[in-house]
Amino acid sequence: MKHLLTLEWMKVRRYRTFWVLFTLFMISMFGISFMWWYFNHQLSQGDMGAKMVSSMIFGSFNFPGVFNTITQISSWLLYFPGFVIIFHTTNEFTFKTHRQNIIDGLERADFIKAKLGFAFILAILCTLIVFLSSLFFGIISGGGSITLEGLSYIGYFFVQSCIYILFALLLALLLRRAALAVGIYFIYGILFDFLLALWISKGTDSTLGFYLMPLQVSDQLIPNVITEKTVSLMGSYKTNIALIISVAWIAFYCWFPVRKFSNEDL
Amino acid sequence: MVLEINNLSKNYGSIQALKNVSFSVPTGTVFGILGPNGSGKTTMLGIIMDVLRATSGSIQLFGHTPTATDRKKIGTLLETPNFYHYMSAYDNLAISAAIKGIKDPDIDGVLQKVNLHQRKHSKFQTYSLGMKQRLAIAACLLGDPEVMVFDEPTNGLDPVGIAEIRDLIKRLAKEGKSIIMASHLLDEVEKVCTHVAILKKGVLIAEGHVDEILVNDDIVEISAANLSELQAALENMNGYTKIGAADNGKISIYFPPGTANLGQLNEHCFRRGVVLNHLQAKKKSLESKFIELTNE
Repeated sequence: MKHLLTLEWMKVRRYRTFWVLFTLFMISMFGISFMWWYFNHQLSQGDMGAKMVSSMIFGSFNFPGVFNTITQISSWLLYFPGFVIIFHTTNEFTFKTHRQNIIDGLERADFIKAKLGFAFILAILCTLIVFLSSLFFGIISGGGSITLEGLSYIGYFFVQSCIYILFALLLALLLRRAALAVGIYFIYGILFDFLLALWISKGTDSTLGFYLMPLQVSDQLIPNVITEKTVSLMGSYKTNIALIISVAWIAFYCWFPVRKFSNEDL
Repeated sequence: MVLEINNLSKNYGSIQALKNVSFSVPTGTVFGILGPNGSGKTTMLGIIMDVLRATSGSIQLFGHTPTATDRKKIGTLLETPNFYHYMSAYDNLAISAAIKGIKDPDIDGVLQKVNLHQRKHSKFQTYSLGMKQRLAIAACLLGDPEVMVFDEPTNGLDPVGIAEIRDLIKRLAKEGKSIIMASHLLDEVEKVCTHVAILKKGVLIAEGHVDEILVNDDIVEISAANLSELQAALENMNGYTKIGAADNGKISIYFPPGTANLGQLNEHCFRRGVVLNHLQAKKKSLESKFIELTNE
């Protein structure tokens, strides 16, 4: 795997689009947390009503609640590492370097494993920045203590990142065109995954759809800081089941591309 | 044998791109795969290099079923130069070398061989078509492989570039490298290759030593005032392979390569009372030979 990741590093280190998008994304991850914290801070300085609105909408910035708050709002930006991996992967098809890599002696499966490794590294980096942001805002808010339950949100965020990024990778490998993959990824992510989940749930008169659809099930791992305090739309979720199904989706996203790429004409 | 192909077939839906093709490439030869566009040359090389899956049949590289390790030992240019557009020539070759597992690759050396050293830090996207082709050939030379596969290696090159690449291939052949080269240019195959396989619509129609397959008959064109008397006089002549029909008052006589003797032919006709008013030795063009080989 080290050799494969070295190859991926050689491919991206001179790819300016990657670095621009990646840097903007990393700044945005911290920026959105800062914005959330700032509005919360301003409201919490106000009268009693403002303080109530602040706690209902913005969630807690004290430990351990800050881990829930930061991971939840940061998850809104998880489309961007998806875009990064789509551009990185569809480049291979645009330049036909996926063929050249195989011709030069790379195993077909290794080509995909390299992309999967790259996707997991992106997920780890996203998780790391979220963890550091949580620590930062927890410390400056100055309250509570770091608990295992609080840290579990960091783990859930990693799972959620993996699903978003690997789903984008799957689309890139299937569609092979950047614009098409980005368009379908974004529209499916913000709308159709939810609609399909709702349709299945309505049809079965249960919350089944929200356990089955990949982005929905990973979204449910981290409670929404707004709806949790106001109204629960979907009923109570069994996090362990959601976690198992999320991991199953990750396993599928790793297995299917390797199988497909190993058997088809390139 | 470097390569053995056994009953190889490839279908794209209802279209059969290769039909039970079998041949072998001996070690140390320059083996040309010749055929018009769409004859299945690139498909065959794609299957050999594992970017396409065969519908049926088998391939052996170096005496066994091909593996990724075998591909690392082959320098291959398939169809078009495929490189990362945003990277320099040097960085692109570094990736190829890393995939092939070459330690301390002589990137500068191979770029010098194809006259690209001056532009080694320029991005690939700034290269002309000819420069891209030369970079692809440089990539093939990385690690000094014993076997090379070139698919239309002179595509996009100017006449000087074509001559340089042909010289390079001949030089590599002299060093004992085995070279498999696909081309639709008969002239190129004749000048560079020692062996040839000719494909037409996915079918192997001829295979063997270039001198045997691309043999060119001597053609002599003659004419006389009375064509029927001339044709009668030719009937009891020996040594020719065929006599063509009269065309524009002239008859073409085909002789095995290097055997046409204009003096004897003239004397033969004169002795039979026919005075020739036209006698000309003609060399059959390679293009017409190619068309003859690949025509229906």
